[in-house]
Amino acid sequence: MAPKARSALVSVGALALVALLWEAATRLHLPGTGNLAPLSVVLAQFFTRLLDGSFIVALFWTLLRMLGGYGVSLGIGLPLGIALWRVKWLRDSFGLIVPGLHGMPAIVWLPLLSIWLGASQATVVVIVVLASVMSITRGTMDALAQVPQLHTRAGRMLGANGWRLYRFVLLPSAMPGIVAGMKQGWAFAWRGLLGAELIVTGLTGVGPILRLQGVSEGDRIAVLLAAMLLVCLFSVCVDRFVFESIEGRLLKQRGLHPHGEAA
Amino acid sequence: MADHRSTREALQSAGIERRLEEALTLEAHELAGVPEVKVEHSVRRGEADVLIELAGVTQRYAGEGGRQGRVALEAVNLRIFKGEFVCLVGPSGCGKSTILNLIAGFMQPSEGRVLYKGRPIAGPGPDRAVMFQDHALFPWLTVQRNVEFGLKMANRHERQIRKKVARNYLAMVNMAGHEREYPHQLSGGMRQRVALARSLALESDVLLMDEPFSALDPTTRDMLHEQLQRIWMETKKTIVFVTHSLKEAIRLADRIVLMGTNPGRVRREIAVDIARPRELNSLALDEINIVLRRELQNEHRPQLPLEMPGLEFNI
Repeated sequence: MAPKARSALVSVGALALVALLWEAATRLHLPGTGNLAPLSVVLAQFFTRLLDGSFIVALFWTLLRMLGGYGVSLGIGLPLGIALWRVKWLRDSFGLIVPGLHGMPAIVWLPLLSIWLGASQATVVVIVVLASVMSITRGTMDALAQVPQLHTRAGRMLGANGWRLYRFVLLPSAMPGIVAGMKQGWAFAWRGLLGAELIVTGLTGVGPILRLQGVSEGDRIAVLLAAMLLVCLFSVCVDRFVFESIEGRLLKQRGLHPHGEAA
Repeated sequence: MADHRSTREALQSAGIERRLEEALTLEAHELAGVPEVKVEHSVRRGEADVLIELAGVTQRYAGEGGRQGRVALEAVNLRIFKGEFVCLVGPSGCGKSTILNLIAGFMQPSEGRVLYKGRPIAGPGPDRAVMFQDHALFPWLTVQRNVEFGLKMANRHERQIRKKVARNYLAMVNMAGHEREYPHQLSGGMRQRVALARSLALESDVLLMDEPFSALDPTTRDMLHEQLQRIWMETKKTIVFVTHSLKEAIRLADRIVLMGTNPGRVRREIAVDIARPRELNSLALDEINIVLRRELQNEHRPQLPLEMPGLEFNI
């Protein structure tokens, strides 16, 4: 069997085993499973809410905040990263602000933002921005710092000057590092977003589902788990189909292997 | 006929080797008394034919913490004429790559002037193509796009014509059929050939080559020497070629500029008037290697005790 097919079979098998144990344990009412819904019930909730549209609408609103905030982050982070790499006095003056903001969990901003902006869309979107912007900035800055001098020299020798050096040499050369920063920014933003949605009231989205607005007592655990499954699946999909695929293509082009397969 | 020619060449090259050997084994102070080997050219050259000129060039690299840095070049004067193939040869640390980087415009001299067509060189540009020791191809572009890159930056030609030009140069270095591959899919020799095609596609008057074949196996190198000679004969470019290999220099150069270390300086210039294309077998290579080794020993011996005054070396 092809190694790829075999590793896929192993992952599916492991998942199936966990599912089986879960279902069996809850159905047999083993001790400690009193507050756990059977997997089949969770899946039923998941598909019911997917089909009646409530999950779709929630995911749509959450994703809209995410894309809005992340888009702003890209718009700020990429130019800021380039500027910080290029201009020494900027680097010196922002030297502590960037890692400070980067290292801080964005959710820490929530109380302050709630005072400034109230319990609103804006608060949540700003959290998304704050969570991701420094990952992108730093990723861009560090990736540019690692562009081999040889690429720069070759580019200038071939006539790439000014913005063309950035557009055709520096940024393409730095692209794998920039995408790595974008990927980290996305992950941080996603965490910040769901955290904020869990706390800020009066919104529609995945977070409010987790707060169990209008869910009957008996369904609570199943709905919680179904919503968690939604978050989990969505996260995996973005990672797999967006970032992994971009990174994989970039690295493959350059003869590198994302998981050290040929090492 | 062929025999006759190679015998003559062997004699000629032996003569050049003797002159080289003499120059290499003499220390600088001994050289002062020896009459200069006259640099002869098949075509008489005057002021008007000077393409590149280094006048009193000194190059210091900054030391750490304000200390005096290394002197890579001291008071170097060098003229390179239009259409000439000049090899800069010498042991490591003699400043031969520094000269190339100065002409390329990657650095500015600490003292003196570096002129191209009579004007100081401000920075790198497509009028002086460079081929690096490491291929320096862009890994995110295909072979075709790498070769086209310079044309694209110059906005020269339409996309379709650019493509055709790139293909022509790839064919010239025997790389036709690899257009869609990425650099990592090629062998070292193939990458250097693509790099050569990329430099040629600039259609510059000057080609600067920094030990471009040093990392390749002898067979590939031999083949590239042949291709380079042929290309030089066809295009009549001015080529400045840096190498630490005397046999490479003898094979390729019109003129060999022999350099020394501590500080980096020009020791000697020797004209090579062997007919082209030059064959590998016509050169007595082993002897040259011995000479080169001797040169390296001469260069390094007196320096060590000076740098560490508290220690003694038994060499």
